[in-house]
Amino acid sequence: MQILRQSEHTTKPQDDELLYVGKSLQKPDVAQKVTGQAIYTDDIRISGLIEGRLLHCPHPFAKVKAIDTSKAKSLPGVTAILTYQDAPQNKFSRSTMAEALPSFAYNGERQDQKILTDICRYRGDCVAAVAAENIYVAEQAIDLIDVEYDVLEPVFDPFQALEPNAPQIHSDAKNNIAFEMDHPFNVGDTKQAFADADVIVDFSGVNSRQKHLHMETDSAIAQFDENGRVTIISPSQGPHLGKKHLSERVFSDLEDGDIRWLSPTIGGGFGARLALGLEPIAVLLARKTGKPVRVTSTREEDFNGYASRTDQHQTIRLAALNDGTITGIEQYIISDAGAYLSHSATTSLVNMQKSLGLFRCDNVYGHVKVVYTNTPVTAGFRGYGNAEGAFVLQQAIDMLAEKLAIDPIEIRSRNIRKEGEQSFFLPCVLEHTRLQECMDEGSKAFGWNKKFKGWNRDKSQGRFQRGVGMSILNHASGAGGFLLEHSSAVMKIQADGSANLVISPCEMGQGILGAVTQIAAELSGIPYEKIRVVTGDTDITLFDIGSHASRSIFVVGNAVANCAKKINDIIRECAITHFEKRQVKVKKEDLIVQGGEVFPKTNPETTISVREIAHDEIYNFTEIGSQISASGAYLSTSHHPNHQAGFAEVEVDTETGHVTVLKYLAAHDIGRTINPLLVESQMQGGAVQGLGFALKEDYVLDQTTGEVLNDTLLTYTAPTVMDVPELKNLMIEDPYNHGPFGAKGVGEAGVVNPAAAIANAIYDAIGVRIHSLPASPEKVLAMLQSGGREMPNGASHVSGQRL
Amino acid sequence: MKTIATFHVNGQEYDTVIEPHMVLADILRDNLNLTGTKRACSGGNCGACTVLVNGRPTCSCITLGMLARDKDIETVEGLASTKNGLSTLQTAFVQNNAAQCGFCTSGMLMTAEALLRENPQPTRQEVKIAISGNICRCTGYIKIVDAIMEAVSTLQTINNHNEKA
Amino acid sequence: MGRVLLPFDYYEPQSISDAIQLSRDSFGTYLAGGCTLVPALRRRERRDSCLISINKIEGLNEFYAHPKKGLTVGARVHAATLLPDIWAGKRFAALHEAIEQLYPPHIGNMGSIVGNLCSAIPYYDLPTAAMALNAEIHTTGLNGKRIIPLESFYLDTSKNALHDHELATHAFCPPPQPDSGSCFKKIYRSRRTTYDSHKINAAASIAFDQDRQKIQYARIVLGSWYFRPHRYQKAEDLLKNQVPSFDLFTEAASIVLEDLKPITDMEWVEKTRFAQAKVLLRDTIAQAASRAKSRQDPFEDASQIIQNTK
Repeated sequence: MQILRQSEHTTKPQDDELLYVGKSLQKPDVAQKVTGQAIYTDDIRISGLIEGRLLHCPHPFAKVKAIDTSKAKSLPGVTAILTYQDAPQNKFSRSTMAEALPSFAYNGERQDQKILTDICRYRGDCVAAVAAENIYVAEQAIDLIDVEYDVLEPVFDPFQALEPNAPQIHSDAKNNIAFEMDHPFNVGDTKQAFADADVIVDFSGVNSRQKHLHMETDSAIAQFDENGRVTIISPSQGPHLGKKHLSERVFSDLEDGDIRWLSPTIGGGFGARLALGLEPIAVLLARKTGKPVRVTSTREEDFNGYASRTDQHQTIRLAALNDGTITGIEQYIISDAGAYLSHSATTSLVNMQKSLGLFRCDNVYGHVKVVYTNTPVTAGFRGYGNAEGAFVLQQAIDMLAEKLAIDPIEIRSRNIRKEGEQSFFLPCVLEHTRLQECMDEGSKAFGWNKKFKGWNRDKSQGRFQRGVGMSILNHASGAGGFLLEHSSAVMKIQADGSANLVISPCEMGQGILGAVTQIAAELSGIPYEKIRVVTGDTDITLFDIGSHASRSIFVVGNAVANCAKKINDIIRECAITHFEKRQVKVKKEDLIVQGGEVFPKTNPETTISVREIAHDEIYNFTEIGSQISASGAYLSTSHHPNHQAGFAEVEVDTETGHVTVLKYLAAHDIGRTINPLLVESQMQGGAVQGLGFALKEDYVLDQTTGEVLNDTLLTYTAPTVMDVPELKNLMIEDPYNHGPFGAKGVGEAGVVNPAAAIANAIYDAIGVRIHSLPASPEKVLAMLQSGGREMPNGASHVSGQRL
Repeated sequence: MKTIATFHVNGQEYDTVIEPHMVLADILRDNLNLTGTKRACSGGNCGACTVLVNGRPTCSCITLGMLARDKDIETVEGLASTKNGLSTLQTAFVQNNAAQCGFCTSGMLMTAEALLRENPQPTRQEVKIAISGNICRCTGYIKIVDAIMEAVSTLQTINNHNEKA
Repeated sequence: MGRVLLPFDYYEPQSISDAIQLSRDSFGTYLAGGCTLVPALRRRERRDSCLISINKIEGLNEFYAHPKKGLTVGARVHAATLLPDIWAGKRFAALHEAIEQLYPPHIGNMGSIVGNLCSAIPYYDLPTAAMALNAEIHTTGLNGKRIIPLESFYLDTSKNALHDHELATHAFCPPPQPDSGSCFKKIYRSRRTTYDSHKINAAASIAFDQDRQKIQYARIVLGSWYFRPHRYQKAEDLLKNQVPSFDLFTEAASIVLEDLKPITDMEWVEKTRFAQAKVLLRDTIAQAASRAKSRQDPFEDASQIIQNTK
């Protein structure tokens, strides 16, 4: 990875003075992971723990007529069996975002499902739950529950679901419309803009339901104590929001403080854990049995049940003048939520926010409709609507460039929003962007000018055709002004001069614990290896909405920075008397804390250790003792997205339709790299996920039965090491004043560009536009066979099958 | 049909009560409390549960415990030792940040361990082929291949040094 | 779909006759590596109440590959056993290639070749490869021993021609023709309906005449299309006595396509499936022919190599 410094003047302190920030240090949790010592939810051993399992409906749409649990109940070792009659009738959404959203978006979070139900709206809706002394008995008991269903006529296609005679999936959602709205910040008059335009392009596309595929499948432990307080242990990306949601929406007899939520090591999140999973049923079983209960799920249940990207059927129209200036943008989205709404409405809205906000334009119109179908529930996934939108928008802008015979980079350069301009989505200005630099440096490193042969190049003959394509994006660094963007951190110094840093974000592998510790070390003066991070326990950590929206490094990082500065301040304050004892007269402002030592700027030879100061503060028998500690908070309200430009080179086998990515380069506008190793890890992981989204991951349902046809890791074909192309990453560094050391977010962006850039590269190679993701061999071949004309709609619209 | 079975894991002998329908992954985790081995698909499709049985990478999630009795089993817990600390391979994983969420890491390490014993000087392509059945959703694989290649060269240096000595 | 298996009885007989006797008494299912059986039990696609492990039976772990004697693999032999074998790689390349491409590679260390062939899973690769090599299944049952050609071994999905209690003891591929070569290839696809498969696979075996000018013998197999792999004799006949050429292979592939029926009712899906099958067949035949043509290991040399490696 290469780091390109755009300017040096905004950074303070200067780089060469930094001990930790900008260094590739090892994250604190990595050693446990390579020795198998890291504890995930399923590894936790609690005495008396019983095992819970769920019974899922085998039909896509059915009503429970009768349920007989007598055989199962009589099985030795069975502790409890619950059906819908035993569960609270409160409706809730699995998405916990409702608790962190402003009211205009909050309406998008319908509370529409129950823990256990008698109306099953997809294969995988939960009908009954069992708790037994071990997993083997639990599964035998599940097997013995007899359920009689009234099978109802299902609908799997969002367009069919919208028709007047379609089966009604939720009684309170007419025409199966779960959510519909104009974009709240539509401006100008697009009709007029299109009438006055020199050129118009119109492009439609749909993405597939990419699965999160966190390697650790969902599980949850719940245990009540004698006072009726419940402890939940589960892999949650946002336990504070989770407990608020659980007490507010699901269990009306529990208060926020009645829940203690522990989030241990998490086996991957990618957005799926930003929701309630098995926690509600674990709580229910624990309450019923009075014992600690663990509920687990299988990979098949994960495939058939909760969480994937939402398939968003989109049309984007662009109006432009002959010089390439975009004068109007319209975006229409019809999203297929699946059986329950969850994150689908918010991801669709965020898609519009990113797609409509990237280019400077006075006439903007967006409209979204989210539809229920009898298919598995979809959710928020890394990128949160952005990857879905980029795939369509970035092909549309290329079409515009082709019509006007302008280079793809040039047309983007002419239209992107510049720093200081009004942003589209929020009533504030775009405070920081280096997107232009990303395009410039990226194209240089990629060799774009050599590789892109222009729009009218002669297509050579032959089986294998090569092409290049690019795409750009803007993504959140925390949704300041939109979400509840604040976080707090606490730091305390032990008697040996080491520190505990208490922060809220959950470590899912992204490396956030390492990055914020580097910030804490840099600003407090305590050595990196002497700072131990504490996280994942809502009784200890302070409120925070969780790890998502690429927010942690910015929001949590700033909170940690504020906290560490205070610690530094206190240490220097306390140091004065220690210096005085040694007849050294110092002023606080002249002291420096570094590497666990305090010394005067002018006299670095005279040092006092933080250890001595911290020890004497605690073990102070003569005066009033106290431990050195501080808390710091940060609230983000500004708009400072991170940006990326992605470049792809592909080779298409025109006989089989197989697309191979040869090279992929991403240039990221990061503000400042806190830890290059961790950042590069995120970029690479995101790019390969994006590559799977682009070419491989096809989540297919049988159109007549609603059955998930690839519910194993064999048939789903996630990218393996063999699919990884030559990957290159550029960091475009130019610190953003309000970021910790100038940093902006990075986690999600990597996944957004690949599909769009690859689709554009495929067009460059074979002259055919990809309307449906993934661009699997069959689809590419079908498009080639039809000469690039849009295919007639297939039998199914579900999951990217509509071409 | 409960039986007392003997398992040889990481050079240690364990007697434990099992039933024929228990798979090796569950026995290692639940009976022997070796939870470093992870279950991610339970279908033999992802490699997360890889352990070495008689030195060969094996999906412990679809191996019946009965078939693994009296065989030499190695798990991630056996890689590091209290005497020598992390193994060369583990150190390389740490230094390259080859573990993100860490759920595939145990299986990845065991598969790589088997490769390096069989072929101490693999090419990058041979490393890729060896771990092609281990799915990682976080890293994009590059850091993992980097780490294994780094371990290869470290081991090579150690060997050369030993030979000279 | 369970996370664990439901209980079953389990036996470990020491001999073939004991195994057959146990099977008769308990109606148990034979278990080799379990790579097909265990996941199916967990997914509740099967609910066997008794398993009879054959892993303690002596004599079922025989393996040898020889250009003049053929390939023999006992029922306990794991697939990966073939990989380091020089003759398996050279003279039974199709099977070797199919094993090399098993996903994940771990399966080769756990699953047996005979178990794979007996599973009768439509999308498995080894049956396609083995059929191109003229494989046969040797069995022992209540009425003695039988030899069943692989071509007539499959009756339906998950159903083979073994009688009740009959045990497949080993698989055998006859020695290949002189101057011959074989090849296996596959293409992954997305399933579109329940009856669809997520791949297409093909294998071919080609032999030349003494002058290595004309094709003398051909076997062409396409799998993962119907519930079992099929041979396509019309295409094989077309190749006979012909000088190999790209156009000839293309024509042979086209002839196979004439006999194929679509799987789904989706036009674009089938069009691409047929197009991909054609390329797959053409390339597989071409690769097999190229191997046959470039073969540099007549038996005399071979025996020398065997001597040297011993």
